[in-house]
Amino acid sequence: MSAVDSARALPNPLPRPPDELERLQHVWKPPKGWRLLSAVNNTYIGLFYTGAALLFLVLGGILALLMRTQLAVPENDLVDYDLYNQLFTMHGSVMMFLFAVPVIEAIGILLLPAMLGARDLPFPRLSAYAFWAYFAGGIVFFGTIFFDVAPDGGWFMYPPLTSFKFSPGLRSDFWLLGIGFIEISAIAGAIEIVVGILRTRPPGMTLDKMPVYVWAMLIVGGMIIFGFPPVILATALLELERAFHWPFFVAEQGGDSLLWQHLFWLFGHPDVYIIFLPGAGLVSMIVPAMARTPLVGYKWVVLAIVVTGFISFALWVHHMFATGMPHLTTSFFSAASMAVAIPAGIQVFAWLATLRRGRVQLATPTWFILGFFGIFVLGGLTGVMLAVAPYDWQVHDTYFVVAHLHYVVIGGMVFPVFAGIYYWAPFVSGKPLSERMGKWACALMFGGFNLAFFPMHISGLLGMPRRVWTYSDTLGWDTWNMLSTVGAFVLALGFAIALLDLLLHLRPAGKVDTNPWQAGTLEWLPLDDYGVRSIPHVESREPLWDQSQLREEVDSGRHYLPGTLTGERETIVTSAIDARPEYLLRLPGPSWLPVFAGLGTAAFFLCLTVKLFIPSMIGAVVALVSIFKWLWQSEPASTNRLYDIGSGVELRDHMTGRRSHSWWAMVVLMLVDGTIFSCLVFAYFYFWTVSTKWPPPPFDLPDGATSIAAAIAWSASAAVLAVAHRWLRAGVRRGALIASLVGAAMLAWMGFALNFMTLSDANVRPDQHAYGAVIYTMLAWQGLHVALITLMGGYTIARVLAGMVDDTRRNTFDNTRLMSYYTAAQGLAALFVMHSPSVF
Amino acid sequence: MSIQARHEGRRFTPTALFICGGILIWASDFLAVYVIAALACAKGWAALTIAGMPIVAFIGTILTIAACAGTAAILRIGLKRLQANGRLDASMRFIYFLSAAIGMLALIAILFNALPAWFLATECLPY
Amino acid sequence: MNEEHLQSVLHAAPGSGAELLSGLGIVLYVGAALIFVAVIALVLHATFTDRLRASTRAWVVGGGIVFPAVALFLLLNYSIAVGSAVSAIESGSALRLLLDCFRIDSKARIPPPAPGSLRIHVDGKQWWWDVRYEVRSGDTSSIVLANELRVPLDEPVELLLTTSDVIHSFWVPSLAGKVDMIPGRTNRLVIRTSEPGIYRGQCAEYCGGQHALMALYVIAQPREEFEAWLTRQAQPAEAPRDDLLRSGYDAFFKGRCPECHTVRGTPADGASGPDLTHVGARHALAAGTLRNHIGTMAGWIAGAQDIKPGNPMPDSEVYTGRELRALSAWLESLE
Repeated sequence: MSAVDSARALPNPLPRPPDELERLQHVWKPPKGWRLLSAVNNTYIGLFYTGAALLFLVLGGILALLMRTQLAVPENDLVDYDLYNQLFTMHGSVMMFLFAVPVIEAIGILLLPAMLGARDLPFPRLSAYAFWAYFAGGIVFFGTIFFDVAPDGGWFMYPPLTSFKFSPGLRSDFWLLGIGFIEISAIAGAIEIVVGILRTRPPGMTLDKMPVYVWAMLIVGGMIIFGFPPVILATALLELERAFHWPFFVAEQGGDSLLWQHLFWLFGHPDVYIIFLPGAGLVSMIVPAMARTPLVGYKWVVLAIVVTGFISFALWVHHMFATGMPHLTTSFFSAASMAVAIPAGIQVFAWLATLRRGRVQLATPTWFILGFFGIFVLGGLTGVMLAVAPYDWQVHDTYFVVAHLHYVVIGGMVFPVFAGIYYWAPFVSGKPLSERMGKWACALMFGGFNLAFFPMHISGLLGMPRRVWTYSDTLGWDTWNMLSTVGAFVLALGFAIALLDLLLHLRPAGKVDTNPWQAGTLEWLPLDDYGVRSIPHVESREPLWDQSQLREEVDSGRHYLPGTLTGERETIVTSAIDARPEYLLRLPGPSWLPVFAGLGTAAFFLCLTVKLFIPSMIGAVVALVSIFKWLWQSEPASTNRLYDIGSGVELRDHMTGRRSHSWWAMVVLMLVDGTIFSCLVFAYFYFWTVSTKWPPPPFDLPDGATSIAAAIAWSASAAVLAVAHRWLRAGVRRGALIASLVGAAMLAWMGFALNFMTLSDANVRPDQHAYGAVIYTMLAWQGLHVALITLMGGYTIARVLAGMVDDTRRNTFDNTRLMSYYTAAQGLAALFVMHSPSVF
Repeated sequence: MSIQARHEGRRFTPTALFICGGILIWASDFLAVYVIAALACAKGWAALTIAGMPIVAFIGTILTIAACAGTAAILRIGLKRLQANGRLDASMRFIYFLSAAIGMLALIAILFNALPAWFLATECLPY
Repeated sequence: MNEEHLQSVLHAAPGSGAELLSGLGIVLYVGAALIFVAVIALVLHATFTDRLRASTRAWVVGGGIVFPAVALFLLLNYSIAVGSAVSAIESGSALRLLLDCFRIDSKARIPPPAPGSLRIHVDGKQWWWDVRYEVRSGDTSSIVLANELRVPLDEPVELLLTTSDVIHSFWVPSLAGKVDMIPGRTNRLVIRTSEPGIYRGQCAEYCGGQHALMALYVIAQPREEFEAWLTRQAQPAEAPRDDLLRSGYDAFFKGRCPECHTVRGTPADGASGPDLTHVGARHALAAGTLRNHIGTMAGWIAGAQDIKPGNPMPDSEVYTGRELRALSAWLESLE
């Protein structure tokens, strides 16, 4: 039997064994009562995550209302300048980092497995960990506003204002910390989403059959992988400058505050699309379902998403048009900023054509979609205006930009998300939300939004800069501000009704069997805690429209994997391009470990920020122990059996090497690390271009001979593990394996020590000049990796001793090996960069 | 017998690179032109000329022609495969379409990029 | 000449770069409005009418690719042309062709200032502007003022923009777009106007606590008036003319004022605060926060922290009412 048989010959016959469903239910049952917090099912984590993100939406919104009240009339003294500056900094940071990015990941975690017919994402505990770290960190970060220690440097935190000289105290540190949590959870989410989409699609779902939302999330995952590293590096550099006075952004010491702006916006602009593309993806799902017709120009929409993902990385300088860069260079970014409007246009016209072809159901999701058009199109058009560099010189940093960014983010993401909430609520609870409340909410949100933000275009053009806590009554801004304030409260009322509707009417149900909009995609199959009863073979983009019997077939267990074969949680891993089944992935069940790990991580960073060293160490130990314990249970021993998932497709329950999901996740992580390192290299060359002589006197280049020794040590460290890998494949004894792991770590440390010597011999110190600061940071980043391979090596040794590593069960070893190759390559690259002035 | 024993299937990395080929060429072109322009301004070479053209305009033109040729080639490969072989399965047709259409959009973006290099090749003064 | 213009992009001064930018703005507003109305009308029509025809080629390729690509290509060229026209640069031949294409005539363009002509150094500080005129090459210490620039009509004037602390942004919307002031860098902006008057500007880059209260004025006047003003600014402060002013003078030195402020012609040579040599002639006090007269001056001296909390000027509590009045009178007499 072949896996690509037609639907008539279904993979599994009836009747199903009597206890099959019961066993499936049993292994996927989430814990009850308060133990539900230890759940790791994507449905529960997805709901927690979405709920937390909406909570931060409310909190950030309250800050906005305070600001709007302050600005309602000129020369108001409701709040003073110091609190106001904290309010707008927190509002921006909370909305961007604690609401917008998390909510799109949350919705992804909630929806993706169902759209892919998978039982769960490939790393359920990683999602749980990311959620808990984010939630605990976010709450504490928000709490700083009550203790007058909230950051006050604006959400993009430009130094030198935010560095040690002009912002002593803890405020900026809390911001850097708060962003740290989001960095961790965003990267974890990206790994989960990318590997999930590429490797847990249902059999037959080739690239041309992926729902548009899945495409959007795949590209967004990729964008997070390359887009977050610049801000991870930037926050690390600013913290190093604040804590140890390494002068990355201090002009007198060879630093440059513009480097921060480059790094921040190199993240910040892709981030806008990280937020918008999933919103557009939701629209591409909702519009065809509500119009009851397939999306017009599916392949063009996919194309637009892919192209946007790339071009969005070439726009960052349009946030810096007023910094006095040469007209020549700014114009390249102007050109790219205009080019990115083309893929947005493709999507808008594809939705429009779909609405034309269809007969549109006028329910709440549709109204939110119409609201989305009304707002987003205008935001896109003002975006083109900002791309016009000379025009931007006028409106940059004014309320015009405040208006624009809210039109884009609220139009492009919040309206689609609320359309999605109303559209997918039945998917969660089996019942729709209140149509009446939904329509009211939509109308108030749309009207309130436009009343609040349209006048800001005018106040901006009338010369009102952003981030002013007060203004004089002689400037002609009064009326427009009063309108904005009234609008803000109307908008808030709309949000309140929608959220009240959720509180009143959303009751997550285990078993859901409904398709109220007659949609065509897999998430509307009958679902339970285990996802679909059996995983369908997908033959079209809208299987529910094209395969009329699919619901019954799936729910009666006639498709793939209708029960649990190993007696554990499991899902099918398929190949990335062709979606052919490759192996059964055994998934972990509920556990407190990710919760402890998340809370421990939060405690570590928080206590470190307020300089409570002992509690912070306790947090670190709790986190590390929890993580190791949780990892210990991963990669269970293979049963070495073949399991028949249907149609005679027989899969093993284990995979090693390049095809394993663990390898893919490791590669993603290395891409993140490599991008961070590349940004550091960029910083090095950036400092070079802004200096007159490089290396700056009196500093020297690192010593050549010692550098070569360091390079040899690093290469040897990787080579040892390459040899050990061959031994492992050949079935070598434990001793040799352990010796090679120890040796690799020692050689890596030796390389690190030698590299350190090259710098200290050259009289380079990190706190005197940006030159020293940046090369010491390279060394420190390398040291972090050496420490990481030491930890990973130690853990691998423990598993070797426990008899948990052999030729067929070597993912742990492979991960250590990959990280060691990476570390060696990075070390050689760093040495090359440090010596590059003698080459060029 | 498991199906993976019979079909290795298409590999991910080459396929992804093939799909994104056009836009990767755009990215390289963008990066190269930007870096050259930035260096020319930072180091004061912008006024130099090659063959009567300002250096940034000259290099920009060459890079643009090269990038256009690259994306046009990708576009052609995609279109040719799409037309020549009616028996391609749907997923392969989709991959060729994406590659070709991304090449087309990349071509537009490359031409957009070229304008500043032509008109502003020597304009290094900050505004 | 005392007409105060609105600080507004929509009220550009004739002959200024801002005027060119507002022409660009009108193209953008009209274009955006037309596209917006068309798209929304199409969306509503599509939603409320069932089963219309919609070919992928016409809608997605035509509406989504061809139309924006052509429109944006034209816009990009136009924006390059306008950007150069306001940037006071010598245009190369390709660029001149482009400018002519879009009919931006040479009178509207901001020309590069003639070599050796007036340059003004503006240095941003938390939260005020230090202004120095470079009348002769290299001399930037003989005419120093704060929060106010005077420029002659119809002449391009080059501003050199720097900062002593954090990033600020120099923005007088009726005259030109904004330019950031960045540590370690000197940015350049050329302004011109053919209408006399007082133009308000404001810091546009968030610069900490009192970013909201960091304004300045640019006063444009005919060449002769400007020359007269310049000559006067170059003079040191006059000796006090009467007893009241003399006691004001004494009060100035009784307090801590000279630690931070310079009054040329007196021993006061503090460097961290605004130069007060001709403070009485200025349009406003405290970086545009207060109108300038004896009452506001006294209020500012006594209650700087109430008026602009967190700014570096302390409340001066050492003065009696009489001293405060005399001090304010003396400062206001420094015209």
